[in-house]
Amino acid sequence: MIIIVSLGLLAIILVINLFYNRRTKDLEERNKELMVLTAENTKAYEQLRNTSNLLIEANRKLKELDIIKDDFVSIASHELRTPMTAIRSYAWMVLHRSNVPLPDNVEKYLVRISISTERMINLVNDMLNISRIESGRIEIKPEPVDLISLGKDIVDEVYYSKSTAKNIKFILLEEKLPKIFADPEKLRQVFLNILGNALKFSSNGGKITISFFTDGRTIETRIKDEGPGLAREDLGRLFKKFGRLDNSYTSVATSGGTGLGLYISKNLIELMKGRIWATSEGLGKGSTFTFALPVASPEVIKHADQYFVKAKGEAKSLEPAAIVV
Amino acid sequence: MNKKILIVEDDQFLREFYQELLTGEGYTVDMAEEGEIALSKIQNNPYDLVLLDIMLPKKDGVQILNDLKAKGPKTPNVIIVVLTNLEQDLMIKKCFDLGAEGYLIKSALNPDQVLTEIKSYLNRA
Repeated sequence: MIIIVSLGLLAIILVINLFYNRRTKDLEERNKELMVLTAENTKAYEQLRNTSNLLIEANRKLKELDIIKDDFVSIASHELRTPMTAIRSYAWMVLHRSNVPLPDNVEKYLVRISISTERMINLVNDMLNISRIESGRIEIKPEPVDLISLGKDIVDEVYYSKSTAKNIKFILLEEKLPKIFADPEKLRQVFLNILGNALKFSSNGGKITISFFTDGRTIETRIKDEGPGLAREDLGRLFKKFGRLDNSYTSVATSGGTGLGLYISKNLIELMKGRIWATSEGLGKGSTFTFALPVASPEVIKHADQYFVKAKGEAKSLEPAAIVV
Repeated sequence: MNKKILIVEDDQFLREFYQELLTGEGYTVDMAEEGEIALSKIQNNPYDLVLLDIMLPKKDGVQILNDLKAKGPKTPNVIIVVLTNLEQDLMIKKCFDLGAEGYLIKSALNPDQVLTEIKSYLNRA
């Protein structure tokens, strides 16, 4: 009897043992798998940390490069302007201080040297401005601005410096307007650029009309010329970098334009939470450039901080806008 | 009557250009092509006006203004006008703080405009 019970117990123990052995093997196997996984995880984590460190380092290097690029652009443009100033100065000297009368063709050549040098200087200035805008070095400090008096100042400036030769008539339609909320320096730059373009594309004896329109929330400044006008399909291209239209005037070479002015203007207006666009009734029918900026209403003044733009790093001012006839 | 002007400019062509331009207007013109000579000339000669470049060998325009502020020029009321192609708000402010009376950008002005500016500074004195 006892033997039977013992055998039975033994059998049970053997079965249990067998069972446990298998479990243990299973567990050992899973343990092994887990250890492999852990090792892989650790490896992956380490790789991630390395990548992360590499990225931090790359980012730091990029920032450094950005500063070097900025300095480089700044110094290169300064170095470029020195010889260009010398070329322009000596051409001026021959044109204005010559002790012998110049033959007509020599005078023409010198005028072309002067215009081309002027163009290069404008190009350097515009490229500097773009570099500052694109790297966020421009700050916007808006304040209430009287558009009419600013408009008059700019017309005076353009009129006396540039337009007498072409006998262009400026008309500024005055009306009672609320002030707008904009950065005066940037607004001036845009105004000068648009008015300068209107002047450039006007033929002798032409008329440029500046008018204003307000719906109470924004004021639109409209600058209309009687120049060659714009084709509908070209309207969108105007505000792109080097978006100058070849068919809009006959000789690029006689214009001191850079093809960057409207791109800069668009960027500045948008930084001031405004909009800028062009319309034309078609080729030969003149064009109108309009920029809309917010009225300095109590509501806008209350949220004035939303209209300020801080510069990334050291804030830089704009190089002067080119006005070319 | 015959006003004395010092031109401080390291670019030879520009230096000689301004010299010719101003001599042509009847001014007595002296020149310096680097900062140390410029400073000693300003300290030893009675100029009415100095046209001062910023980027110069040996001693830059800002250091010259600094030294002049500390030690003083030969003529106490000499007019210092910065004439440069460097155009940065900070630099302009610094120069005015250090006693410069004008800041002209070479590439932004034609020679006629430079002359007009110089005449107006001299008439103010």
